[in-house]
Amino acid sequence: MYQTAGVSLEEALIEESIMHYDVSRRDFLKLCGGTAAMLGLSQAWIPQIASALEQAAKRPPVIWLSFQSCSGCFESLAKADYPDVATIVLDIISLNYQEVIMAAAGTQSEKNLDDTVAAGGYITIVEGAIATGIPEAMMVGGKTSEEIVGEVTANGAATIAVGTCAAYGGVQAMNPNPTGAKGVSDVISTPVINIPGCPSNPDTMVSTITYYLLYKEAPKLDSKGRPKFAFSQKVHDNCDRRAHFDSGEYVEEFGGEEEAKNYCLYKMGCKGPETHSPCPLTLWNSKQNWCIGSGNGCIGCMEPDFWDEFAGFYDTLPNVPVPGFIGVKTSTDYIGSTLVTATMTGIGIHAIATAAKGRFKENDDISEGSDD
Amino acid sequence: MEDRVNIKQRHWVYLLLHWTIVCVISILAFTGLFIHRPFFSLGTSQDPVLLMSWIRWTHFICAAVLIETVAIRLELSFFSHFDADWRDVGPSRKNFKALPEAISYYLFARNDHRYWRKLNPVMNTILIPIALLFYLMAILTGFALFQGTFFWGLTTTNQLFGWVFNVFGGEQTTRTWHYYLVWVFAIYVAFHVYFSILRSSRDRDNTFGSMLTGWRLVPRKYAPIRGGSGKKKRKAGKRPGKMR
Ligand code: SF4
Ligand code: SF4
Repeated sequence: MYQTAGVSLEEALIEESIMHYDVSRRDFLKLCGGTAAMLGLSQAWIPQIASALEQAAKRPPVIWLSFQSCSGCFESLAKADYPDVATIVLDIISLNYQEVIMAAAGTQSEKNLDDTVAAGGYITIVEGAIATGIPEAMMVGGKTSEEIVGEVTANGAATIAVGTCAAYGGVQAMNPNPTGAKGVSDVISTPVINIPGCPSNPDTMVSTITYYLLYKEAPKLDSKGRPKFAFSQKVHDNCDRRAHFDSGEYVEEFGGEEEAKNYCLYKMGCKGPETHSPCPLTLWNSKQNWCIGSGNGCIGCMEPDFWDEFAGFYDTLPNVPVPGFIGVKTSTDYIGSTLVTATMTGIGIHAIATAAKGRFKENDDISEGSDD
Repeated sequence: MEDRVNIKQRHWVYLLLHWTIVCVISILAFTGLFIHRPFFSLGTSQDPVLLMSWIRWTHFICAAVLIETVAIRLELSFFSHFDADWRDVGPSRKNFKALPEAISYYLFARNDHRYWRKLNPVMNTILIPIALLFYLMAILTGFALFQGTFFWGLTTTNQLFGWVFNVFGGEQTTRTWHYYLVWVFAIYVAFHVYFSILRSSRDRDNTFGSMLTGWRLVPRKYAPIRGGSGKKKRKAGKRPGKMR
């Protein structure tokens, strides 16, 4: 236990976790600097951020609800291979209920949840979609996901939906959406901060939590409920392959020579031009790499309906449903060229028929008169 | 051939606007297809040409010219002092009434047709509304996708045009709809050109050539009365029977 005279218990706690993970105070401030940059704050804010995190050693209680999901978002936040702000924040907040990592089980865990809800003032983080069509598809402790999320968020201070599933329904909401999967904001009436992504980005999650600890209110949100500080720019705006896009240099096929040159992945179906996300700035896996850096186009995992709207992921424009044929999808090029071919054929047949009728010859068939 | 008179039918300003629109949409279609799927490349990695940037720049310039041209054409059709032709162009009740007859002629269900000194009912009730809808869609989806500062200092922010995405169901779907416009354009041109050729050769009134010269060879009995005002045209109903 690390403790010095004149330091409060709370400050000691954060100091302890910093020591525990072998992070120097200087590293900690550097990491706070990263969060400041993400939030669009100047470096002058670093002490405030550090102090907000340290003040948070009062441990605001957090309830982490998991519904229809793969737990990837929690993994994303909790990845413990590197002691970063995420790890420290996880130690700072009091994670009173988290099904993946909590020690309590059965009635004890239910009691933890009920006590925290009764006390109020907690942050609810929801991961996973709410099953509304088949409520029995997602039940915990005999309650449906919709009931749980309604009861828990009603008494909380703030609600954060992490991951595209909690924000917009996620892959289980893919057409025809058998379980009626919906995002949290579709089933509760209190405000929700969406941090989409499949999984959601740890830096964005930490920055949002820090923002909340700093200002005691939600950050400004865009029309899809996402924090503007992270989601106002597109992947395409900050992509390091953008120069190749502008020069018309594209990967023509996977494994080709253009791929070795790290050319733009637009022709391989990159959806970066339609996706709002900070990925090119925050990167992934402890800032090691990201999707496009690894040679795969962005699939737009931070956008609502990306599972339907952006698929096939390897075409510049996704396939679209064919009207009149339920469940059949094809490319826009195919639909367009078929219609044009049909039109030209129709016109050709009409021209032949018109010629056969002698209508291309000198007219003798004008009736009644001009009527213009 | 019966008696014909050469009538100055189209003002040169309208011809100029028409062909400006043709050129501009053709360039928009070409650059749009390139943006959809870049099908050629220029330059080398040592000496790159900013191909996509220039193509997109051209697309945006042409979009601005198209919007201006369409706006001028619409404005003139209501307020021009030389030919405010909004009554003759576009759907009217008279045109809708005549539409079944015109269509049944084209479908070979009847053998005679009327002479339309200006646009025929198929053009007025089907093609012109499609064109107007085309412009509306192209401009709205285009502005929504552009998301930057356009010409005339207009910044097409999400606040201003985000609703377009909601109408079409997302940004990606809006892009798909914007792309469909190139096919609509191709089909439109096919019909439009075919019908002009058909009419030109059938009525022998130089319809096709009038799009360059402005002069049309109208049978004398269908020409407006010389010296009369534009509204005092001959009544069609007073001329029963076939023209032979
Ligand atoms: S790889 Fe994708 S995001 Fe990057 S420049 Fe190309 S299209 Fe844009
Ligand atoms: S680059 Fe695209 S697909 Fe990859 S995480 Fe970011 S938004 Fe998702």
